[in-house]
Amino acid sequence: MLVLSRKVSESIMIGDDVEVCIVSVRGDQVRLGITAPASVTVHRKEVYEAVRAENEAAARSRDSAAELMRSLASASRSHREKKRPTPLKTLTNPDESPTNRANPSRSARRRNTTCR
Amino acid sequence: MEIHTARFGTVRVRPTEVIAFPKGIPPFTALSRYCLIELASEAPVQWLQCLEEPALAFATVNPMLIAPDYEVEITEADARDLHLRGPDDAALLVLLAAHENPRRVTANLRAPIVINHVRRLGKQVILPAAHYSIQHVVCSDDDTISTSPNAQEERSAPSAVQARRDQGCLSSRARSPRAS
Repeated sequence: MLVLSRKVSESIMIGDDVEVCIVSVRGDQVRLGITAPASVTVHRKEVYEAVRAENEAAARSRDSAAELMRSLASASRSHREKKRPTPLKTLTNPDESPTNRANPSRSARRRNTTCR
Repeated sequence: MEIHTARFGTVRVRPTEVIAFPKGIPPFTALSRYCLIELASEAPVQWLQCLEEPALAFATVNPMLIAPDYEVEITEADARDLHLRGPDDAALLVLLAAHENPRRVTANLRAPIVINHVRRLGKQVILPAAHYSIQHVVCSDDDTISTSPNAQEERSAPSAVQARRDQGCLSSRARSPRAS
């Protein structure tokens, strides 16, 4: 593992396209600014770990799930009747997506990620 | 070919029904070949059965049945991995999990399974925005969880099926970036 020391507003480059900038340091919390091509996905590691754990739970559900699955149709139907979810965003055209509106899809975009 | 499964016994799978997951489904990253199995008695659940590990099968469902307005924006990297030419090539499924304490069934809307039904390629993608939950509650103790009296009928004759567009697992709502 490469360990680097950086000060606030200094950056590191990962390859030619990915820049990670130290935005601020407050106590044990570091705020990072990440500039990367849209093709590079950036997630907090906790999200990956949560997806792995949930996949393991889904695999364990193979046998116990059966009875619950049978109630899926009616449960989801009543769920929808009780509380119909409202659309979080409506994309009618790819050009109207928030990402594309803010930046052309091939250009770099900036994301701020807080890591403890 | 015939494959042995823990849940469905021996199942006949045509080569065209095999779905390759080159990166696996974490943490089962070494297992890369799956098929979809549908039982009439368990509709609308479709089982994603691993061909290399008889015990590994995921219950999946068309996310539109759970969240009618569900929309996914597929990143360029994921579209490339899946060889997607456009939204019509993509089918969406979400994994279901049964939990205890409290007893509930959840669907992972944050990390759907995207299947290119033309190229028979699959990948679990993680959506960039936190709009959707990893444990979206489908039904819980608050709802009436009843066991159907018809539970045991139609248990026989499972067959592998394709992810079919007419089932709505594909839809125009699955978006991939346009070719540039």
